Amino acid sequence: MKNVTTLGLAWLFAAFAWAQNMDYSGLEELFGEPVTLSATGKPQRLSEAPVSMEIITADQIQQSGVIDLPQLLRRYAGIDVSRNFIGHADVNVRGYNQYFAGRLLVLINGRQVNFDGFGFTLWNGMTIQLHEIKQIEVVRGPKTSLFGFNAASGVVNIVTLSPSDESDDELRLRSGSQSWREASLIKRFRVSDRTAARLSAGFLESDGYPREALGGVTDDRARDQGEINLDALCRISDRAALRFEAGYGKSAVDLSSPYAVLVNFIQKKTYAKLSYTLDSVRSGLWHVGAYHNHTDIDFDVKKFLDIDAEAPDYHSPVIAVHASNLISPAVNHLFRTSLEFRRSGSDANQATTGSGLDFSMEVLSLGVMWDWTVNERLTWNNSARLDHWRTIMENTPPLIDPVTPIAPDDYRREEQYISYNSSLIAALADGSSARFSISRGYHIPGLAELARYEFSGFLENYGNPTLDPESNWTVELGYTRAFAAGLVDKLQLSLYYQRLGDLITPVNNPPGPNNRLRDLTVTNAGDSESTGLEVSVDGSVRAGGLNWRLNYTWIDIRDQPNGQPLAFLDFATNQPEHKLNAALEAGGKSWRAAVTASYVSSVDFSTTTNDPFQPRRTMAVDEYALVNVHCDYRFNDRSILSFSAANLVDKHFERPAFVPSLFPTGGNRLDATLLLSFRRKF
Amino acid sequence: MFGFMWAILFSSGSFEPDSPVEINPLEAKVMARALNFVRGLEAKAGVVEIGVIYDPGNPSSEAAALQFQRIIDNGVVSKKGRLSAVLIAVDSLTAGLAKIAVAFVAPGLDSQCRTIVKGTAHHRVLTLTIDLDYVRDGCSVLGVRAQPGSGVEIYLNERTREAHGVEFDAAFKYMAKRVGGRK
Repeated sequence: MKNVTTLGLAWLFAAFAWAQNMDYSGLEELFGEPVTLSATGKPQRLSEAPVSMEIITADQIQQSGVIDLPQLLRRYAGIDVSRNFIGHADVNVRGYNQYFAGRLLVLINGRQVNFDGFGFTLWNGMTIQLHEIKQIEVVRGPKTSLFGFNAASGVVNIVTLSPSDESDDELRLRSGSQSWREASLIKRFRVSDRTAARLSAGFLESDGYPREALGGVTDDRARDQGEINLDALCRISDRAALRFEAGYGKSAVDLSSPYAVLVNFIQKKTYAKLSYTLDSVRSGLWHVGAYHNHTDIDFDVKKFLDIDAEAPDYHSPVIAVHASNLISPAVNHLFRTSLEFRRSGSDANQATTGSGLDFSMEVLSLGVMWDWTVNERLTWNNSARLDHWRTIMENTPPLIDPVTPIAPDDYRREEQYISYNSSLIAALADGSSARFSISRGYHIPGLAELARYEFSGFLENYGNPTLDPESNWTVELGYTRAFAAGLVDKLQLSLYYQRLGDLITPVNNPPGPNNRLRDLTVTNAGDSESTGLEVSVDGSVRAGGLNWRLNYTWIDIRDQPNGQPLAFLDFATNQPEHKLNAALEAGGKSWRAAVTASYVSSVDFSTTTNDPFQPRRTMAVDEYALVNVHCDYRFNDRSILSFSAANLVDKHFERPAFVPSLFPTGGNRLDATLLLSFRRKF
Repeated sequence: MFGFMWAILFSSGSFEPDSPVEINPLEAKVMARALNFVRGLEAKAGVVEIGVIYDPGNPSSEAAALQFQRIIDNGVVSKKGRLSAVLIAVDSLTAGLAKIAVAFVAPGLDSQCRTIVKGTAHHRVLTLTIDLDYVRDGCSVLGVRAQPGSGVEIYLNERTREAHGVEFDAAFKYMAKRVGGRK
């Protein structure tokens, strides 16, 4: 009994650190391919992962020359990226991309970087540098059963280099068009045989694209960011490790927020994380971890609106504690159990009313995973997670005239949801495998979607505490084949059907006979189903050092609105149906060059705005093509000069940026960016 | 169609017949990298000595042993240290295994499997092979098959591992293809 109690306590205090303390480099070198924990929670080779996923390696990141992660992610099948400013892009997996897209969970070493307040990711508000990333793991499809309720359409897990990895210190300088100025530094410290640390810092300033269509709004300082990050690892023994990460970042980027409101979005982010990993011979892998994210948000609307407007500022602390165990009681069976508690809060100061809201959510989650190697050809992986959540409201907003009745008790909810994944992967012959999976995931609304309040004269802007979480049920067939020799190295194919339920969309309800005050709120507007296909082929000509990649994405979306007036559900028309990406890379002893090209089909873009005169705006966005070029010249082992050119060929809209006015305006055309960078290793 | 599904569901054997495979340098390198994940394995003066068990009465076994020794002595390193190979005839195992912690079981020793297991388990020696049937049959703890351009296969016999008292990092263990249930 005592042993059981001890084991139970150890489990409760055990974590997450596993994800970050695994020897990624050593295992990758051993198996000759990237390894991951993001597919099922067990360490796995990419070729054996029973999900549709990509692993973007450090070399691929280094040789991409991208201005940010969305520009890199869009090169892969099934990933939707829409940008309308230089410093921000909305990203989602398998369609359903929108302003402040929040259905994709983004993690750094297992720590959530999505901003819980609005449930979206500010891609240029992270505290790390691109060149300290070991790999980016992208999982397509719901993965809530492993990662929690935001992983409804997929997961991007960014794994940084371990502080104990043998790599050089590095200084990087980059400058170019749009008055781009960037510098970053990575410095490693080996404190002892068992303790190592990595310190990184960087800043970036850039103007935006010319804004002739935005009524002369300045493009100055469209992206402005600075960050510092510390990562330390102490191997307490051969079996146990302690890792500490902390960072601070400040970023200010122009972007379109929900209701198509143009703002300079200012975010200050602080985080700290401590994790402990124990590799026990008898009881498997134990992990205990806790982290704290604190995000302060401010909106500068004056840059786009020549009026004296004040938007509320938000403060959002998140505390999460996680424990997990991975054990194999028999040769063919592997079990993972996890327990997580997280509390996220949103404290909004209302500049206009002088009042504030203090709203928070607590989630207790229990997850299980069972991996069964049926035989040498067949593996069956199953996972399920129970998320029990409740909301806490300290002070009820003084709603005057909401479009639908909201009672004070609506802010205090307690519900639970079960998500699951079940995947069969069969090895068909040497180098090829087939996969079948069924999964269900949930996206719980952002805190500001559930509870916010801003009153300004004739307008009430408030959250909807009666919102249901969005659900995603996906069934998928996949096929992968690796080729030993020849022009083609690998073929990946995924065919899926997904059904999204209770999709959340913004509502702009104008005043009328039964509505004194105009409403800006959100609602569940209905369901949507889609069928999609993703095909990726890559290959190489080894003798010439030539690599190529080609991928194609097709999605057909069918919306099923629930008939609420002014709640528009039009993903069927405003998501691109076809996307094509191609890349060609070549290199020699001292140089490397890459050309990437993308094609995105046209859409009839429509969005709810905050415009009192035109609550709904639509605009045709033409098909467009992107061509990017990147070249490296290596002076020696330590110094590299690079040239990058992005958005060549086609000056285009990806998503309109509307300015409130009586006359519809176009938006922000994305122009070319030319950058020269210098990297020096020490 | 059903025959295809039946084959996937109920196949328990290997993909293809394990015909004798010539040792290639990549397999030796993979073995060296696998040693990085062995608990408690220490190099002595920067050298990890690997015994190469062979049958002196079997020319193909001896040839394979000599080939493996050449590959190792040409310079294969792991994070634990530089590898060095020493030949051990299967009929003098007791003396040969006394001072080593790792041994390579050369092909051509099928009939001496019991003798090898008895000796290596007694000395708590980690055994490596390129013959995956050795692993399935419990003659060796770890098996490696690797060909340039066609991936790496690592097999681990759990029952033999326990009998030999060898411990690996859990991540390595869970990523290997494991056979042989626990006792």
